[in-house]
Amino acid sequence: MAQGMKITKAGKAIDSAVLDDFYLHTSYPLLKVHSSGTFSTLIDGTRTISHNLGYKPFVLVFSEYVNDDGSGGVVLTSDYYQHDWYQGGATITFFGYTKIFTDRIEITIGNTNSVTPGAVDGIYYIFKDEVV
Amino acid sequence: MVYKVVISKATYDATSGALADKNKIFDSALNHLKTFSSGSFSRSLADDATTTVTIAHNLNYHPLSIAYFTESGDTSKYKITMSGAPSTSPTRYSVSDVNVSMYCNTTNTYFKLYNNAGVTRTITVKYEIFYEGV
Repeated sequence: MAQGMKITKAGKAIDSAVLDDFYLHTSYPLLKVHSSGTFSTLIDGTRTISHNLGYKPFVLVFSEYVNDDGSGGVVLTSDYYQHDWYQGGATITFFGYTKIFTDRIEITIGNTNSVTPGAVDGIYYIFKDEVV
Repeated sequence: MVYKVVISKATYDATSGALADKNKIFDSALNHLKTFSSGSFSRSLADDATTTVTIAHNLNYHPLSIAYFTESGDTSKYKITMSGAPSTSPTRYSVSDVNVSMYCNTTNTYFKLYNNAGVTRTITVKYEIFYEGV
């Protein structure tokens, strides 16, 4: 017999068939945090974060973004964007992305001209849960 | 001695010290994503139009969030939002497409919607903002 635990949101029935009615439903795994942190002063390079999980985990990364300043230059936003950004200009392109490996993640900030637009700050969360 | 609650996936032994974390449903010794708020909204945009929807969180830090969107030209699928192409530069997207960028500061989470489909499109966004963040 399958056993489990359910915790519903206020006013919702424990036998509800709507999964969004539950805070916890143990038939469905929760994302479990493996590690988290910040990165900063990452300038045109790659920051490696080791996790050594032995598989590719689910990851969330947000960072500042190299934006067009409207005058032909660039400016870093104070807002945090999903770290998959791209800013294409007439003579230079800036980009940010994350690669996930079985032992680490690599958070990259780069551009096509290898210039250093400034210090890019961000946050990352690595989860125990495997991307399959 | 430290006590904790562990619920394993089916066929795995929750009492085994060798149980891999990825094979757990829940472990009270680990942090889990906790939803601060969730919701959805729709906006109708004319061709080449942009709009930004602001969702206040007032958490005083940058929270994690996840969002998906669909649009009236193809409601068969939801696409994950991407910040890579703020609306003025949809370089990473088809020219006959729509895009939703998501970003945040310590007060708000923003969704920037852009329609580049050539006709009016209704864009629907579903989002989840979490307590976790820095």
